[in-house]
Amino acid sequence: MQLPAWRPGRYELQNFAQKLRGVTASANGESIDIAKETKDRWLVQAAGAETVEVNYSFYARQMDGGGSWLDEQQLYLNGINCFMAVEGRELEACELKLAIREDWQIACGLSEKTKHTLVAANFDELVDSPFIASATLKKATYEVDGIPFHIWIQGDCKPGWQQITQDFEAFTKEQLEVFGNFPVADYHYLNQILSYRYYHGVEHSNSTVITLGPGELLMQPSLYKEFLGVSSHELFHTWNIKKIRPKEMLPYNFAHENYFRTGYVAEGITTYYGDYMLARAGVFTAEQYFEELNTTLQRYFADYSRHNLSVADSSFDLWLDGYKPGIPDRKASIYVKGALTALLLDLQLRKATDNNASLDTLMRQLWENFGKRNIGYTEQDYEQLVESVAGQSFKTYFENYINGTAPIEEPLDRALGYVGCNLKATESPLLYEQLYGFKTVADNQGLKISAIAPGSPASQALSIDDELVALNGRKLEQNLQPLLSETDTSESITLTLFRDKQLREVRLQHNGQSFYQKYTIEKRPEASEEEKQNFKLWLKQGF
Amino acid sequence: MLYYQVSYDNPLSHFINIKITIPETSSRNYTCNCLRGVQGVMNYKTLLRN
Repeated sequence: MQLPAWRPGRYELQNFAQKLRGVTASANGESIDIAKETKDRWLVQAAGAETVEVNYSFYARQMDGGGSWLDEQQLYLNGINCFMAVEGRELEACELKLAIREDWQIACGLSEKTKHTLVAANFDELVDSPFIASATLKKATYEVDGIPFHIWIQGDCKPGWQQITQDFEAFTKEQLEVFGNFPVADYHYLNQILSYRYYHGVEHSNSTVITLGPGELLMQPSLYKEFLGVSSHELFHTWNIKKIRPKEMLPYNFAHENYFRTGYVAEGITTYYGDYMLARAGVFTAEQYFEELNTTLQRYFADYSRHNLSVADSSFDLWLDGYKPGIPDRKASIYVKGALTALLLDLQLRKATDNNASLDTLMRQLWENFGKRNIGYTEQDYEQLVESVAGQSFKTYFENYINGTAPIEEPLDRALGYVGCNLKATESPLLYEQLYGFKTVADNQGLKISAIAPGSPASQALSIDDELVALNGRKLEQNLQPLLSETDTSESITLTLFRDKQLREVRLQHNGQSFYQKYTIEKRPEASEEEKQNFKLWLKQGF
Repeated sequence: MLYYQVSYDNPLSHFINIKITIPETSSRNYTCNCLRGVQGVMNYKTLLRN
């Protein structure tokens, strides 16, 4: 028996076995031997018995898109967390019986054979089909091309169903237009709407779990756009990763790391399309879409790790430290850099082909040639397909921006020019970022150094987690920026701080360079008619 | 067919009980020595061929 050690969608070992208790086995009512062979693998001595039972308990108290939760109101389970596979019998159909309250309903991508009994074609489908069982589920359904899409909601909130189904239908239609058809017969959005601020989504073959909060703000613009964004992103995964899969993960190996270098396709392109589809479907205005793109740009340029590790190498290292801050300036985000390189690729393909091809063309071909045929793609397959769609070499793109760490600013600015826009750089409005190259975070202990730009004045004087207490002798009380703005920064400044409980004074002198520049995408007022037309073809909206 | 059952005694404890019933243990040929998820028979066959 093998318990998965990780779950698809989060490419790091999570070692779910740490949540198991009391693993036993029996046959004919008698206890039989079950011995642990690895941290999550057990050998059962069936000793000739025809039927064997394995029992254990699992701690279901992790409320996020990939976790499981039990309380008096609901049972929410991701089977990948807690179901052992019987080695060698992974292909057999599985029946899942839930001993739950009679009045509870089940939201799940699996079909219910009889009340509260679900069936899966095999182990993979079983653990790829999370469910929420509860008496308080709400649901609305919309159809596109005859395919039912069910939006389930668990949790306190007042969903504006008309608005929700209208917007969901719009982005679903747009995504179906990209690929031509849908990989599965139906789809379920399982939404856990929480009472606190939260944002997480996980994709599955014909469902997604989204944890979002706080519920009272669901229909407010700031949270509603996140609801739309994450839902569009997860739906796009139905093709891109659930079907269009890197070779290294087809099939998944749940017991070990599945190293792959194409996270910029799986997550980067999906991140790009999540919001892009909302703009193209008319759910977001161009301005709203640019706000999302600008947030991505801020994240990218706020992190100097872009100079250290390529997005392809960062994908490989997901299994090492992909989901935690890690050491400073080490790795790129496959989501953030992946989305920007996807934008760059889309615009470059449009330009190279006079709008005859785009990233849509590439995704459609990945679906037709790989996803639909159950063939995993390699890095080389992907590169060849890009060049085939472009009708020219894209060696520079891959060498510099996918497998290298070359600055993306100039090529992105040039590519945006094709659609009448540009990449605008501005100085950080925070003087300590701009002049001295450090970022801060305020916590209960005061103002701490959270990031330091390489080569900055701060890098010679400050250390991560230094607690700033005074500027030029004046106590700091959430007033660093106003104090700096009244200071003559041509002279050096003195910061008083605690480092490892020791009081220190350090001096910083602006060196003429600026740090943590901000980048935004803007329409160029002087854009030509042709560029405006290119913009319209790209976003399906007027310039 | 494999049988999985989920139940619980006390929802406040957050512990669920899982029972897996595995029939026909003596008549099966356990060929695969590593856990591989499956995406349908084709992939599984590919794996076994490898």
